Amino acid sequence: MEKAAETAKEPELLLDVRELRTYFHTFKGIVKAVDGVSFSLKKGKILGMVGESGCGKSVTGFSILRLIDPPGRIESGEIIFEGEPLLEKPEKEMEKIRGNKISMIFQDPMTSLNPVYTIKKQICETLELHRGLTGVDAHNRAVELLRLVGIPSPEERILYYPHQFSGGMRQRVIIAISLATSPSLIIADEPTTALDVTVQAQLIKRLYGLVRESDRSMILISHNLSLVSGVSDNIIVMYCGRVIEKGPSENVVFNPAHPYTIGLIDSIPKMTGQRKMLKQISGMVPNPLDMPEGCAFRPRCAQAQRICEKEFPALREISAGHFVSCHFAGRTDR
Amino acid sequence: MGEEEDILLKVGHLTKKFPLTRGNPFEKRKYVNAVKDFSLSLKKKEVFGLVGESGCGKSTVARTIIRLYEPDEGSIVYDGVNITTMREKQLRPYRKKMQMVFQNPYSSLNPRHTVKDIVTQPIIFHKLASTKAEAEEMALFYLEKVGILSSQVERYPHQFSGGQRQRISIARALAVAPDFIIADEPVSALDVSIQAQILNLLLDLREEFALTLMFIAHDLAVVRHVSDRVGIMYLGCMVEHGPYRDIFDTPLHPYTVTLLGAVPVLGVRTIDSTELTDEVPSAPSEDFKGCVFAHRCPLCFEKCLRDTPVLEERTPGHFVACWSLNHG
Repeated sequence: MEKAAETAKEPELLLDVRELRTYFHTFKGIVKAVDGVSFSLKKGKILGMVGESGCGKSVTGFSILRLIDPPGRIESGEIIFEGEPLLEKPEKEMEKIRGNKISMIFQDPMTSLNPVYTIKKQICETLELHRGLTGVDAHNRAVELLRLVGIPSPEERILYYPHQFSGGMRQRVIIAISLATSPSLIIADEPTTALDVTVQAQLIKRLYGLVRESDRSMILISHNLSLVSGVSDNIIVMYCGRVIEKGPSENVVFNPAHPYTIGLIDSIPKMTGQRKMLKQISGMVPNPLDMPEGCAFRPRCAQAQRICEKEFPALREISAGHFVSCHFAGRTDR
Repeated sequence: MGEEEDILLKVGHLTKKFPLTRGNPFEKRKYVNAVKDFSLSLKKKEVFGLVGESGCGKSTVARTIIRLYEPDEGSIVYDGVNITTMREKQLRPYRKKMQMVFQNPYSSLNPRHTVKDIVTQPIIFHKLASTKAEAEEMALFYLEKVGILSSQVERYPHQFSGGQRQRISIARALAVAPDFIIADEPVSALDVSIQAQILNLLLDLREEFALTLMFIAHDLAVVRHVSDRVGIMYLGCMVEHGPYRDIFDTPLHPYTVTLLGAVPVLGVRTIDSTELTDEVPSAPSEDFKGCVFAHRCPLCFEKCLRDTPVLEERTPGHFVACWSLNHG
């Protein structure tokens, strides 16, 4: 009895990604863009995915929707969404999930809308395809969606073309489209990177509100750790196609354990307090075609030792729910 | 008088207009004020940070100062010499003294030249070396200063990463031994860990070569990190400027306050930050009156719509253009 009550309180698992591997087979060799990524997301939670360009965070997002084109291929792994394995579904069924149960918000608001159609047409298309709404019903729902994302006088604006909107407004339209079918999961890939800070603040707050109100889940992909830490329940830090640290937001931000996460946080200039010389991570991200043996961060790591060259460090739990992939992190004897 | 001598650059009431496209050729040409009534004095060896959102005119200011754009009104005095209307030939020595580092490290380097050539060219152009060999030697010196190995200098720009290309851009700017460098968003295209490397490099080089730096960025934390003084621009106007501590600890202009509030801070929940209702409107036309920020300002009253506010000194060195500060 008691156990049943407990499980009811605990939000159920929405998405479970296990050992996902997505490789790109280029002429120069195999690029392991995502190499054994595992994480899970509960209903109503927001997961932040952080890392620098090329770390595989976007490819992970695309892989969940199976939007990987050749030369890329999902090699192995499992993606369980609402209890069903997505990687085993035929393409026809995937089409019913994309944009319907899982929707995606892309980075560039200038290119992700079709310039030759009004936004009414673009919102109604989604509504018709996935919800079977047409005519006045679709129109009314579209207006409602635009109001929801904070576009002023939506009745008029719905007939506008994308070029008549500013960048921030376009991104609102895209959010409206992504919400059109009440998806249970939204994957937002750098949704505010192309926007100014004041607009970014508005949009993130709006997106956060919309996700929280209706008990949806979101994966927020961004290179901006500060931004992600402001909204996420959990954070995943990626480096060279692998998860190197994951855990509750506060743990990752205030008690980072992986040398890369620590370096990343130290290299962000601060907005308050004494100015200090920025600690930098020396060197640069290795060539994806020529990954070092063992730990991928080893060539840039100050604490690297023999074992780091040979053995890839597996994720270890250093405190409740806080996992780190480093031989030495959290050890007192280092 | 001693203070006057310390001033490297003095910009007075600079205005730059751009024509709008006309509906038909008989219509009277209309203009937007990209930069309006912009004044600034830079002391020698100072780092001045210029912040604002896209379209606020910060890059136009930079390009007008180094005369890539012709100013419509106002004056630019560099080291005591008025260069506002100087001809190209007379201007050449000043072109050497003022260098620029551009935002995009992918488009600001010629893809068909090797890195060594890219850095050698300005040295030869400004006749800073008597032989080509000497020029190349100088180029290698500056490339080494920014951390490009001599084994890499025969490579082409596409063989380098974004951070390395930005280093090459910096070497090219340094190569002609300038006194003044304008860095226009030098780190905004780079990843955080690389960004820190470039910022540290810029600050080190400023020390070593006694440079005066104008640092343009939209990232407030970056500007706070590098600047001695900071100016905030909004729609072509400087609304507030002063020592960096004053701007970040006690901002006075309502726009600065909201701008600072919008910056995400590590580990701080984004729930109740102050929020502006609208988005940045387009730059005002030339006959615009009143305060540019009035329409989005929570403190706006009737005077703000009528008269253009002027920069007034509130605390030593801290200037703000806002009527509401007098009002209540």
